[in-house]
Amino acid sequence: MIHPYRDLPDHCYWARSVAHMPPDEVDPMLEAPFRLTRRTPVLTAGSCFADRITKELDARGYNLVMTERGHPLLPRHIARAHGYGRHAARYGNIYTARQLRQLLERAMGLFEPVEPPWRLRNGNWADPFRPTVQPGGFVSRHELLADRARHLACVRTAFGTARVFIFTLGLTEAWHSLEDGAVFPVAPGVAAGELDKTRHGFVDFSVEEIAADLARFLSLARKINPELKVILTVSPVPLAATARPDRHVLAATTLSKAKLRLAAEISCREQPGVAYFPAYEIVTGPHGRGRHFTGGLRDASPTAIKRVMASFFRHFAQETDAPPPQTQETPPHTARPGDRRRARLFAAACDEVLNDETECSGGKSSHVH
Amino acid sequence: MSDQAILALGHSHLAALRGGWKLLKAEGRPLPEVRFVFLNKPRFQPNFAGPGARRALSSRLTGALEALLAERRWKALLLAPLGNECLARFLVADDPPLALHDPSIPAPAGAVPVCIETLRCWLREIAARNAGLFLSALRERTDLPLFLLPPPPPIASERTIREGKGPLHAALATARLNPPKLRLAIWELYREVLAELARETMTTLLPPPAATRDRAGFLHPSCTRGDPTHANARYGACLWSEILRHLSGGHPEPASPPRMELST
Repeated sequence: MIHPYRDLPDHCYWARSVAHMPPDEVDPMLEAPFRLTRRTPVLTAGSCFADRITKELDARGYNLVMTERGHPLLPRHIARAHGYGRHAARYGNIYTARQLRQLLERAMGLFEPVEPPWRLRNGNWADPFRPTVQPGGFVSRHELLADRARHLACVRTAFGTARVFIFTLGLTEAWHSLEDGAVFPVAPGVAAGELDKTRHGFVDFSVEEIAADLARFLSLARKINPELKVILTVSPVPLAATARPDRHVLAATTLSKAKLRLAAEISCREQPGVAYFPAYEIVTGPHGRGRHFTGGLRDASPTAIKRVMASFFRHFAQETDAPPPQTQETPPHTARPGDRRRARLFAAACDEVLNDETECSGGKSSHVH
Repeated sequence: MSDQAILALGHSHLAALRGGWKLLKAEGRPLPEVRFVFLNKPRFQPNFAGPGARRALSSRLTGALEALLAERRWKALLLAPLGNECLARFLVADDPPLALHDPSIPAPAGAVPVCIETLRCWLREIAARNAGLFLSALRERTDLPLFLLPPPPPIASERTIREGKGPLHAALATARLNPPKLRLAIWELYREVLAELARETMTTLLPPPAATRDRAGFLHPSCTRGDPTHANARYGACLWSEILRHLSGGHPEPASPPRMELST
């Protein structure tokens, strides 16, 4: 009897490639369309999960593009707390494809959002498009705008320098300006500023919109850098909160991840030089048997990260991996006593967690995904 | 004036205060008795125990502080702690130079700008170790009035800095110095950070009186000591006017300079 499932490779069968495999050997990545060497200039961006990928690449000696560096005098832990060294430039977390597209459009001088700087409680200013990247804020509008100009120049240089861009899609829900559509990484009023319902609105991007944003981003990026290759991932980190009261956060999470996954698939199918890396599947698959998330059920566990990165390097690394060098633990930033909100902002590698006050004040969550 | 004495503790900048006290005494000004204790003397070493972020005052130092506090009934405590590090660190331009996003301070070519709050965060760490540990240790042990003296403002004149004596002399002979306005801005920020610490520890921060600063806010040429970062006895004398005003319950006002001849 001939049937269409008879001669397929093992990875097509759940029992052979997931259910009866040791969890460490479950690897949904099949074949990477291109590979990296330690000399390949790699650019990273995305949600909090992108941070973990960046750290692992850095620890293994990969050539991370860094165009917006802090002054070398700054102690490393202070530089990192102020957004330096996390990614190529101080853009902070980029949760949505629209935010990514917008960043490049701004860096290329194609879009200048009308949203004015946001006020912080201490009287300083926050950049609406990276409101947590400068703890304590900017002391003046001039400082904010000057730093932004330098930042956007560094973003442009980064996209012109990189050969591979790794982007982690994080969210579909966002808040945006009703005037010009500019999206914010966190809602006005969460980290800074105030929500003004006459000027700010909520948006939940559709698959088509996300795919279109990725396509637009790619066409712009390749104007600067025709050789740029892209690896897309979907963050396995659930939503901290949904802004839709008609939807349970778990249902909102699965819908969001499904849309992102589908948009990534469309990009890979329609855009040359774009690969999908299934970090999401490695972390959320049932083979994790509950061991892939830590206490708050949002942070990917070290075991999960280890499995993700093992797969990543197995498929995308051209060279045999040397053991990662010992990394020095940086001392934690010492926030001022009594300034709980500021301490939270310092600790929050993940801006999105700011949407949930309870989680923020829990204190023990590392906020690193 | 009460017969109770003042306990003045500190490091190198305490010398200006001691010099000022001697000058005023020589002029016949009524002054309280003051015990000057230099914490960089062997008796108090090591000042610190533990590395980096876990740095703490050593038990040797805290024991010595307790002994000093128990020695007699003090009227008040003055603290002129470590802080020269902050002045010296930003004296010479780095490679690449450091700059602020401040149009009034032109940035040299290739400069890397640092945002004020980033710099403040760093200065907080420096101040927490250099002044905060001492303030906390004293406040935990006494309710006496406690005064904190910031390091003096920077010197504007490159010539004065380069010709000044001291351990930095050789390094400064050929080095490119940071613009004076940048150094002043960083010093002002450090002073703000010290003011935060002072508030947290119920301490009175005594900023340099107007008479010790030139019109732009730099250390007045008559108050330099002949090295790139320290102030002289005249500076200390002006501070005493301020300290005594505080102790007598008066509000801080610009102090009149002492009558003596300029001393460097």
